[in-house]
Amino acid sequence: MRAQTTSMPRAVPAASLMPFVIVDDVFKVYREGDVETVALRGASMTVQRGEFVVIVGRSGSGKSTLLNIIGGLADTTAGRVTVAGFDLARSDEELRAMVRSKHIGMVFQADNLVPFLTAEENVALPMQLAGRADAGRRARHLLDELGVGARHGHRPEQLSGGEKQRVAIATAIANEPELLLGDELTGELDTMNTDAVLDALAALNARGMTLVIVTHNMRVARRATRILHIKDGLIEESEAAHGDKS
Amino acid sequence: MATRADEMTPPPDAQAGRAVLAATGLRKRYGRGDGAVDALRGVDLEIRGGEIVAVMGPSGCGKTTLLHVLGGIEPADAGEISIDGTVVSRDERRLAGLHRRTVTFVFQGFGLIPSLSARENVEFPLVAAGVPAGERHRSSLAALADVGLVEWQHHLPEEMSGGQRQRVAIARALVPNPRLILADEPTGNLDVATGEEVLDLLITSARRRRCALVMVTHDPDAGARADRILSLRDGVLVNHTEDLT
Repeated sequence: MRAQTTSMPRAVPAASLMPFVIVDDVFKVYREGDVETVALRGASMTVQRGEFVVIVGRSGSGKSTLLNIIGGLADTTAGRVTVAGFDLARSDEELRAMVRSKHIGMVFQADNLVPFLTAEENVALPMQLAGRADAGRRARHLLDELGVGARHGHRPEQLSGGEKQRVAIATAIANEPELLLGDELTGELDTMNTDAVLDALAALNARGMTLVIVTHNMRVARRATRILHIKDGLIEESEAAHGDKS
Repeated sequence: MATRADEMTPPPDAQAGRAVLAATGLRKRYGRGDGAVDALRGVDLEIRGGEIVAVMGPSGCGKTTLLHVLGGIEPADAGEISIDGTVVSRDERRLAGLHRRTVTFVFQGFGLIPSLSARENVEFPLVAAGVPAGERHRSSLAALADVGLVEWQHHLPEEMSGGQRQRVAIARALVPNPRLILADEPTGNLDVATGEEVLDLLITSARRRRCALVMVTHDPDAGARADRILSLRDGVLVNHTEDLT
């Protein structure tokens, strides 16, 4: 169910003083024929700028649905979602696309890269589309920062799983979003590669990027500054964490 | 075999028999010593302009390796590849440059960037080709219209079904007006009905644009709609079925 559409950005006044993400009493119901599945049943949470929040829950708990709603990939059935001061639930697709492209980067579990482009070309791509003249130089810089600079000329299938995900992170942050969303982005990685990706995320967070990651892996959760537990479509518990080194 | 009305007339390039891509003596080995696997063991082939070719064979026979080598994704250990009569396989940069202008891809796993909208995913091959932004925008919208997805231009791949994502990938493959599309199991991640629709779109789009299409496939229906089937066994082409039309 999509709310009313508008072509005008709905920036909330004094947005910079508000939490960067506000999820307020959100419901999400999937309907297929006569069957209804309630994925979120009044979920509420906020994320402040600069936080590293991990949402932990079992399969089917609603955590990916929640992330997709924050990323503007899914509508709410009811409730309010504000990201960077924009009310996503009352935005049309064009405005959501603008919010995503300017404010949000996303990384998924797999298939984040174009197979026939090199790592550097993949990272440069979003910047070239945005008209940035320094796309190539910045792509190399980002790959260096994420520890995969030596692999800049390699195609995805020549990279390990952890290297691919770090290239994917570089691609997602190429146009300098304030918020990076990750959906089980270490789900296919072994422990060593998981740690390399988590180190990269921690370094981004230390420089001020806001991170929201969903996972069922407590190794990932331990690196967060706050852990949210989701169960049956409700955020049940919020606990401070310490951004531990693995 | 290739019985649909819009597939009956071979395009002029095919009638003229000009090769858009030719390969001789392609060899590719993975690993070393006792564990080495010879994925390609001396493959010769020629793809004529506008023809639809299916590459078939059992799993592990080297089909995907062949497609990757032809498309410059992986280098061959030996052999030569020519595009439009120009040898490109001795110079990786030249290979990449020519491929970008002439050869495009469709993958089983779609190969879309999740943080880019459908239109941006279609648009990016034109960035590498130096096409101005306004023209890129128009061309990518036209390509999305060709695959019936213009209303999805702002959506991210994650919001789309598998069939829609593969249509976006097809639009991306078509947008630079290539001479050859290389497709690796283009229906492999789709249900049967969606796979048929996507296959139909891919073949009719290639025919309409007189673009050659080489499909690696397990799907007998895809083979039946090709002009020619290349059968690969243990890294060697064992049978060329010529001119099924």
